[in-house]
Amino acid sequence: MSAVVRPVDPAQGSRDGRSPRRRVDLRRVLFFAIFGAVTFLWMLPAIWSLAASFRHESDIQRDLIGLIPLPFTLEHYERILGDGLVSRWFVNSFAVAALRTAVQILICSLAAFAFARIPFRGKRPLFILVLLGLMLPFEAILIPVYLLFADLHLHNTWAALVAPDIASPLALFLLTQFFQEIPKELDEAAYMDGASRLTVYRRVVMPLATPVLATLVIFTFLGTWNEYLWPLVSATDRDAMTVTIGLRKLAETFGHQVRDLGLKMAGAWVGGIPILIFYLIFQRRIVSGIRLTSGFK
Amino acid sequence: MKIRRALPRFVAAAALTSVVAAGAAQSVAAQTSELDLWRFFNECTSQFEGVTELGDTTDVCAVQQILANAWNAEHPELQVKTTSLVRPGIVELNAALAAGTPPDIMSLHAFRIPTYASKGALTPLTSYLAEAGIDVDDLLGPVRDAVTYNGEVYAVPIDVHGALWHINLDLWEKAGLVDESGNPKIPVGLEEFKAACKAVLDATGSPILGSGDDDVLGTAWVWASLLAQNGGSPVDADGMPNVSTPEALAALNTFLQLRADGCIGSGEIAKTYESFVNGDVASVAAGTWQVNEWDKQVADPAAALKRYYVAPFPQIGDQPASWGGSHTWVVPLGANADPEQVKAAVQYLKHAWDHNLDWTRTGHATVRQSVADSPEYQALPHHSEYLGFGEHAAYNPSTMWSVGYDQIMHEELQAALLGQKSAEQALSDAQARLVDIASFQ
Amino acid sequence: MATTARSAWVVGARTAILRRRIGRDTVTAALFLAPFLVFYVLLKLWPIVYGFWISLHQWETIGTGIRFVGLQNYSRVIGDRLFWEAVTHTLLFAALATPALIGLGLGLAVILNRAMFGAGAYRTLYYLPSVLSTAVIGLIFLAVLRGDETGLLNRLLSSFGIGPIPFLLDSTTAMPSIALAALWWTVGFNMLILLAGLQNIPEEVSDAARVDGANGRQHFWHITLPLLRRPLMLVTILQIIACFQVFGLIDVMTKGGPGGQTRSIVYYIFERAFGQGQLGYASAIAFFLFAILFVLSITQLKLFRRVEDAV
Repeated sequence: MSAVVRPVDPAQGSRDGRSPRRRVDLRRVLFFAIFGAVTFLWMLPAIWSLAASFRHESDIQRDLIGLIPLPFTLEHYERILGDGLVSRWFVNSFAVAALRTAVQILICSLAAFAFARIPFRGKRPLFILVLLGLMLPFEAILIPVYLLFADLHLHNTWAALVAPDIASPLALFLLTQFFQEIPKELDEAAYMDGASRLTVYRRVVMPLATPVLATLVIFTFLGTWNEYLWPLVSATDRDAMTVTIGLRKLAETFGHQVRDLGLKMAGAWVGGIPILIFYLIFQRRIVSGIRLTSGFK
Repeated sequence: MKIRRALPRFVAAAALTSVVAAGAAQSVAAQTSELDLWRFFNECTSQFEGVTELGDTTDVCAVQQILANAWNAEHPELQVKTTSLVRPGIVELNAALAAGTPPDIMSLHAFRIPTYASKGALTPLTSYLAEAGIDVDDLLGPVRDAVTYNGEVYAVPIDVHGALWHINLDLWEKAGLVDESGNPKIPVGLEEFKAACKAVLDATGSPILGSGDDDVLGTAWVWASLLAQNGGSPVDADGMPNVSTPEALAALNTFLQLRADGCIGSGEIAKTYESFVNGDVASVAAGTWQVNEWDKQVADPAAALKRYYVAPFPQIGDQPASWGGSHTWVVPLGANADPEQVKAAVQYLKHAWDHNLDWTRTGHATVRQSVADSPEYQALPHHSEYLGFGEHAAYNPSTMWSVGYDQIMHEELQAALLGQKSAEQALSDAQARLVDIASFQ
Repeated sequence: MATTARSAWVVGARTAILRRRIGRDTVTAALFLAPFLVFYVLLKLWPIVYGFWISLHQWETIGTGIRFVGLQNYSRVIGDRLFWEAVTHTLLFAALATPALIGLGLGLAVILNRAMFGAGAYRTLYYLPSVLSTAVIGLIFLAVLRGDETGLLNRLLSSFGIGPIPFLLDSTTAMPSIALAALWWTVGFNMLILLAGLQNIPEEVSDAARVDGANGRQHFWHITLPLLRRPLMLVTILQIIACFQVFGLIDVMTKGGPGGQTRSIVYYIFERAFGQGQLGYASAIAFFLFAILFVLSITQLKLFRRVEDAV
């Protein structure tokens, strides 16, 4: 079996020009049959979760692991989608995630451009200083950050939910790495035409950065959407909550056993749909990426 | 050129400004004649919007929400704003206290009161209660002790909850443990318990006290009950941790023995409860909060659990006792709070106090003697069966080091139950860890 | 870099232009960096410094009774049995999860990079778990890893005759179970990054290799893998840092159990800070973690540099 590694736009879905011989065909078919079966097994937990969201709570209590949602019910989804607050939470989550993603990409790409392209003194120690931020767990600086926003009277606002991790060392790292791969010749051609740094940033480097930008969009949007600890303490107000926190509170485990499982699973999928859509839109940018003609060293 | 260079700066500033502006526009303005009430018990504002009549609901969130709605309807000048927390709500509370913006009223487990009171985070309520019409003498003994610290009352209790014995009468009958009037023959003391255990094992193959190793109820609270039943205590005379004593070890060894004999169950507690509901396990240890839920199951004609009885936690030792706890309302405005604000808060607490009976319909036990004596209370489903457990409730230690108590005891006892450590080692490690926490004070 | 006559001329012209730029570079760099640095200092650096300051005190989360104790918290951490156990558990988790996440991520990226029917659908499926939040993943895996015969995984194993395993109640299987949940949850993201890396491999390289007669395995090991060095290095470093910060799954699935065998470093920090109100002590533990990760990251970077130079 030949592991042909050729970048192809999956939308085309075409077979390659070399028609494989029968023997190879069989092995390929077998391989993909097994792969399909393994993927199905791998997806079982998700299937269980989806099924649970359509089952009555009492059925779940009686038989936790059933994979077939019969008798079928939409009551959990009705409860969640019918809750007036939930749409408010969606708006909050979406706005916060979108804002943070946009601002983060803007300021981090500007900084990454500086690291990747502009020679300046102290670049290396500054870069290390930035990378330090990658290694500290948020739990350790939660209280100082919380106090900062309390002093600014910014809790229960979008600003407080957006701001942490806007200056993301991870984003900076990814972008810098990527920018460094872009051949400098392209820059130089532009400079010789009289372009400023900013123009090179806007016209040369950023357009070529689509794959990493798309990756970051997905990553940051998702990360912000699923954030738990920070919105828990910062957005305590019912109207200010995000979907992740709101749904968590909506289906609390009161007592010490797992309850409202169906409701929680319905909430999980409802909460996950926007991100899924986001992913579907942006993943094409990653996969049908720009190919660089002379990029390897 | 200059304009272009300034562009990124401008864009960033614009972005920052718009973020802050958008954020500020979303902020909720504070009102002065408003009470900020924080509680766990779930989030259900939308569900009960406008509902002010309790009806016969037994859902914990419903009762709290409707009580708040009813208050708001009658007191437009003093509105209560409810914020729901993820139980136990400590993360949110600590953050708010650190920032100096605590709520006016908060639901707090009783055993945490000394920790917060000693640090001046809670407002002493003794002087406000009589004025508001809350009679402290009406409180059950152990509850009163649980909310008192240094002579001051710091909370208005909401309920007593605890570990109970939930029984499937059909299976008990198979084991010959049900009398002519249909009531279970409750064993008292170790010998009777062992005999009953054997009867149940022989008849049904299931433990007489189904339990679980993955939950604090099945580890720390069972042990705490056994310890209290033999007159022991996890606290010494000076209020310091005392869990590595001969009594503690004896309780743990009894626990281990009964487990080995198949009398006390093991495994995952969710599975045990599932089996109980399916009629496969004779009886289980579970909380007061399960009563409603399982009662509803019984009402379903297709349910396997048909005859359901709730007894106090089995008395395996010398005296009746079982783990218990209490939810309470506290006023975390600190020692120097504005008296008017506190008075307003206590007014709402009086409202909750008056409706204590309504709260007990959720399955929890009352905190008031007068309610306990009332016929309505005694008529609540199953309540008469496990009445009185509140008087023998063995609470978690109410001390400064209580914050880690449940979690540490659960972990160390679990290690012993699962065979990772010897019983002596587990208790000695627990003691060391509790002493470590106490040393931070 | 390719050197041609044209390039030499470009170099000459470039130098002249560059000389004009040297003076302005620092200012320009500052402008580009400013927005980032403002937020970074405010929201990451200053809190780190403040966090360190807190670690030098006996500082309760509730905020009263604050006492300066110097490095006492740090010496306490060194003598703390639970801390060292947490380090061991975290190392175990990282050792299990990292190779799995990278290996599987790479495998999936390679397999799904080709044009095959439904590649896009498969990619979406493997990415799907990432859209669920921590609490949900924990709940799902509590059902998957149920210790009796009704658990999803146990049901699967029973068809191979393997008896029900109490995954989360057995100290040998508990941490691997958490690693499994983490794998299922996040492998999609690694797959994406490596996919992007694969996409970047120029077509000419693949074609040239094929013309030279390289077969599949040779192609992978000698052409693809070396070219994936950068993304792989990135993914590995990030993965290890993330593994060392594992917390959410533990909080939902085991709360550090059974018998404390899945307590990770960050879980311990959280316990001490929010469960037991010891912010100063918790901050000290956090800085220990910080130090560990710093050393680890520098070591990895040096290792990768050496590999790069050797090739």
